[in-house]
Amino acid sequence: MSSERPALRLFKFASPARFEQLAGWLTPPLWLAALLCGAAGLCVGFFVAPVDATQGEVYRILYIHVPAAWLSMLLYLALAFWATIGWAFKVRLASMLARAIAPTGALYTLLALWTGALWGQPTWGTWWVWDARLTSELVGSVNVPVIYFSVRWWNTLHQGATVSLASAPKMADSMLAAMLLCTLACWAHAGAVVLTRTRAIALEREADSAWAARLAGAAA
Amino acid sequence: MSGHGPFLWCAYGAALLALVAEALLVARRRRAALHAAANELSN
Repeated sequence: MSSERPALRLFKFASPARFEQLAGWLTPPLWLAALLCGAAGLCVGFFVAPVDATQGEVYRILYIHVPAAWLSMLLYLALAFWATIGWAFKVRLASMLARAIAPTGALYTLLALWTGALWGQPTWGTWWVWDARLTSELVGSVNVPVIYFSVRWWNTLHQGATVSLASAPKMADSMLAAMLLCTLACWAHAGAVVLTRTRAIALEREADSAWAARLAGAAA
Repeated sequence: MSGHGPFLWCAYGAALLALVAEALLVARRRRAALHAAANELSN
């Protein structure tokens, strides 16, 4: 039995060579999951889920808007986490991960704002308002908890949470299924993109290392 | 679509385009990094 503490064993995965191998296994199933869950979610969302009684067809923007908004917050948290680990323990792979997460976090934030504007215009009559939810999403990572709780703390134009861990969802089962499938698709996409970008960053930074030479030799 | 079709097309079109473009860009970056490492090896 190993006498190493579990926390120390975890640091074995901080080796870029080991990460390269692990990410190489994880990435193809993530791409596949993104494709399958995305296709299934959009089929259920557009062809099975009923029309919303008050908003009509345009509510279907929800299937991309909500996953993008959730993921933007999650990625900002992940970025802060890995940046802290990289800074506190001087783990270079953690810093590479933080760097790889940043563009994907920014993209999902942009998508949340873009799809939100396209949903806002036909339902609220405006592309943008400086309300608590929208403004806090725009400002970004420094206030992830503020984004999440903004619809509870302030009574604004943005609706309250439709899905919460503490209560039953306020939507039809097929709508919820489509939204969760699209959420899984976005998570899988973000996971695959971040892992691939981290592998690229690691190779760029350590092109002259033994593990990169082995990898390049095997690929040649 | 009760007149809301363009909003849905713009939302999903832009989102799918952006997500696919990002996937292709990171794959290209990874391939370029691999080629650079192979060049480093041959030098």
